[in-house]
Amino acid sequence: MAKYRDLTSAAVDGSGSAESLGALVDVLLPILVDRLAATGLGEIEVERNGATVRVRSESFGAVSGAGSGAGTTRTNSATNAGGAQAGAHVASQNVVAQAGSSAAGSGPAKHAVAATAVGFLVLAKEIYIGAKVAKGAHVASVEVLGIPTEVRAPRGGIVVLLKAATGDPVEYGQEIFILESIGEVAT
Amino acid sequence: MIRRVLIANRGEIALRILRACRQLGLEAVVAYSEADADSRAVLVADEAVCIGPADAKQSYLSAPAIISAALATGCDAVHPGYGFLSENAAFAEAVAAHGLTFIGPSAPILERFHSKAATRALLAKFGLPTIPGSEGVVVDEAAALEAASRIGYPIILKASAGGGGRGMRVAHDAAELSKNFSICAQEAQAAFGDGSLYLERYLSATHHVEVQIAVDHEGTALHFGERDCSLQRRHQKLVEESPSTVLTPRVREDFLARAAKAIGAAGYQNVGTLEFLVGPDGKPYFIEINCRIQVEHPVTEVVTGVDLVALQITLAGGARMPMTQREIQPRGHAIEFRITAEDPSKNFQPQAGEISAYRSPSGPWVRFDSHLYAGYEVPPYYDSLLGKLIVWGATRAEAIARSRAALRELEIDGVETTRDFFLGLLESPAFLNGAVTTSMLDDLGTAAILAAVPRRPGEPAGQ
Repeated sequence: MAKYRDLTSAAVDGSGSAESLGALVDVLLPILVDRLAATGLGEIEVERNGATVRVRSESFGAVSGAGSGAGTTRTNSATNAGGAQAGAHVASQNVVAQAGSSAAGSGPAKHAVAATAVGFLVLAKEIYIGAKVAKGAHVASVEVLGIPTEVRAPRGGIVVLLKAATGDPVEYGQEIFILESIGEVAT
Repeated sequence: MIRRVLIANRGEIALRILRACRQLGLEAVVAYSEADADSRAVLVADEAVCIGPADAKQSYLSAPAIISAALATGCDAVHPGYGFLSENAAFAEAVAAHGLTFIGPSAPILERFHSKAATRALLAKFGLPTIPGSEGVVVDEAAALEAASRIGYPIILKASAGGGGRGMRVAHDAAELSKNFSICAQEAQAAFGDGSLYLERYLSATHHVEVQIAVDHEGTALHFGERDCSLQRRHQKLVEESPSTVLTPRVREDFLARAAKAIGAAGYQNVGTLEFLVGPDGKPYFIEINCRIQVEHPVTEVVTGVDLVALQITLAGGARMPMTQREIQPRGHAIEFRITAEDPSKNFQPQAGEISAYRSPSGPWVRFDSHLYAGYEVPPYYDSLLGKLIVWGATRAEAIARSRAALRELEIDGVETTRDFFLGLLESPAFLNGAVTTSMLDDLGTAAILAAVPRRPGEPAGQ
């Protein structure tokens, strides 16, 4: 994922309180949203005064009514300042504020992409942490006796965790990587 | 040398093979479908690998999935168990082509013994008595009528590629044969993809006996005595025992020795079973071969003391026969009951569901080969075998008495089973007298057998 550490207009003191973190998000949000749209990246993370703000684009497979239109960018932020508890608190506040319908405390929706056969894994070049994956994209193959079996993304999202690498033996149904789709609210 | 075995089967036989591997000091990996993720073999295995969804065609019957799983988990051998791909020559060939050992007869041998008509002709050449029949496949109705007039009626039409009792029709005269020939050919084509038929003299109310054999790669062939599998329902075996009650000592000795000699001479390898029908003259006539370990193999293990699955793996690894015929001395009497998730009172309708309570029988000379545990969910996708109760006694009467106690000890709640059916059967004078024939269950009737189940103390009548 791309990191921007030099956003000059993001001036907050970072004392770690929920209020100041909220202020940090308010300042950063418009900048990050613009940057996200300009770069076409799936996700941008900013560290500022010990706090982290992550903004993620969800321009495909959206199911929530919170946003509309092709250019809409949904945002969520995970902040981390002064300890995990404070971070989690702010994050959940922000989810409520931005998504509008998600229950407090619930994180972004995660989806595993699973192997469709037993054999040896070949990950697509486009699959790395932070990569944006469209629903139905060819994300990997499982070589069954030398013959590739396609693995396609069941939903769109951002790759947040790789659980297997090219060359690894995988079984049917084994999780290959995890996608996070922020805009999709679990219904 | 085999070091690591992929077990490509499920249920009790997966567990049985796993135990044999452990006893031999081999590593074992259990291949399973999504529906079997909670099976006991998977839970107790050192390693297990999911090979596909519940549909057997995409898992236990998928050669690419199984071989790929073997390669992905570093196995050097594949045990196919029984059923599924166990006698599939193309599968055995593919396994070997990927540098893996197929635990069973090699592909060319499976190919040679694939056709029933050809196998019968081959083994007849090496001295096995066969039921008078057509010389191989009958090409058309005219050839069938010609062969039938030579053999004598009644005759039975059989699919050359058939098995499990399917693709068979009896004809008592030429008119009936004419009527049945094309129907039977079409059925065989539909069921087995091969419409070729052969015919043989039909023997009614007979005994079904089989010989367990094993052959090493040098052609040393041994027999391990016979099993009587006469007690069948719709050509499916329910009870097997050893020794058979119908063979005289002289006949038994002769047919066992001939079986071992013929199968060795015919170039068979690994373990196998030769099936025979006993004619009205009291003599066994060869009908077909099973090129695999069979469901009822424990009956032979219990009377001979030989671990047949371990022997099978050992022979597949290229070892010479580790014993001589003289060392195999069957002792006493063993009976096996196939406990299935079927409701005898509803025409043996298969059951599925959670096993809410389970207690297995035990005690001296009682063996229960089963993959059950309390909380296990019997999946609806596969066969309904829950376990095999094998009981030994010094005599048949002792084995039967011990079987009654063991069946009573067995408790399976949550699905209907065939346990009570067997308790009723053990009250039948026909069974107790040893007059077990292939038509006995039809003659007795399921209702009468179930009505004969003795009431347990404290149990309300009619239960």
